[in-house]
Amino acid sequence: MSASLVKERSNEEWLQALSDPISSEALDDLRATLLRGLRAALSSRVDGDLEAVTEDFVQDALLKILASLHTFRGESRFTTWAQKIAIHVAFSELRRLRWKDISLQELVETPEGDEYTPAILTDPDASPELHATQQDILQIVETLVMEELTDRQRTAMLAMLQGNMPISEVAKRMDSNPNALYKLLHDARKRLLAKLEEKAGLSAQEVLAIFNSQAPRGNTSSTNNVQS
Amino acid sequence: MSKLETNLLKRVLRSIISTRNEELDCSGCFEQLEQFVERELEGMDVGEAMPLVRLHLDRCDGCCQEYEALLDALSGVELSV
Repeated sequence: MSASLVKERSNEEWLQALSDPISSEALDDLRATLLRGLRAALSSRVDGDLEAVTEDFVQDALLKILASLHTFRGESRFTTWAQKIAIHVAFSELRRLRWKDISLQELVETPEGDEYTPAILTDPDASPELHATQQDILQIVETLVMEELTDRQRTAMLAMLQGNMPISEVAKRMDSNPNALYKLLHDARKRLLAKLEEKAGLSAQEVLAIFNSQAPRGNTSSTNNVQS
Repeated sequence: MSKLETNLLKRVLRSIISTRNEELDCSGCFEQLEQFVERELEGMDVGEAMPLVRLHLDRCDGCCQEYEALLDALSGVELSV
């Protein structure tokens, strides 16, 4: 590969070269670095020919990076920080495309007649007493979700946990932003935790221990194809 | 009241019991992500050094996707140099 042609620079040299007047050589080097990184990052996550869109992502990322130079705090290599921005630009757009035709409503609907099958979620080796305790706790969780959360909290939580929609996409549909929505959900989780401990008479650690034999890692979609 | 699907209840429960009073939001995680990834690539125990970032990545699929992609991007760049 031609990667070795990219000149090594210190953080200060990068910042100076990319500030007015911008060095075209530095800009080309950064573009090449980001392209290589994005290709490596996306090749196993996105199907199809990515070459053209990858170049578009890099171009958008370069504009963002140049406009954000003043926010670089020097706590990493400059190229790591720049690559982080390029990844964010690419994934934001891929997520937008992936979810563009999907509404919150269809994600949070519970199909009529959806069978409630608590047996599958409990430890098959659990004693009848433990099995019953697990079911009791899950029934408390269900009641709390339905009765203790606001409509917005419940909709956001179900869209993410049931529909696997990323927080950024849920936020757009709720006329919010990811940070505000995170706070909304953090408040919701804190409330649910306090209520769960109160209703179940157990601490979070005790609840965890009860489910420990199959403590769910939950959504593993982070390792899946971003377009899936 | 409609019944929530069972796997969903498991996920809600996991989400609840892993809640901490202090958590990073997505921006807070993003601000520190480059440090987190570099330290990880250096072999440091980043979960101990930067526990709030680790906790956020465990909870937020979107941020976790970008973290894993950044790891791959940096590894790819280093391999090709």
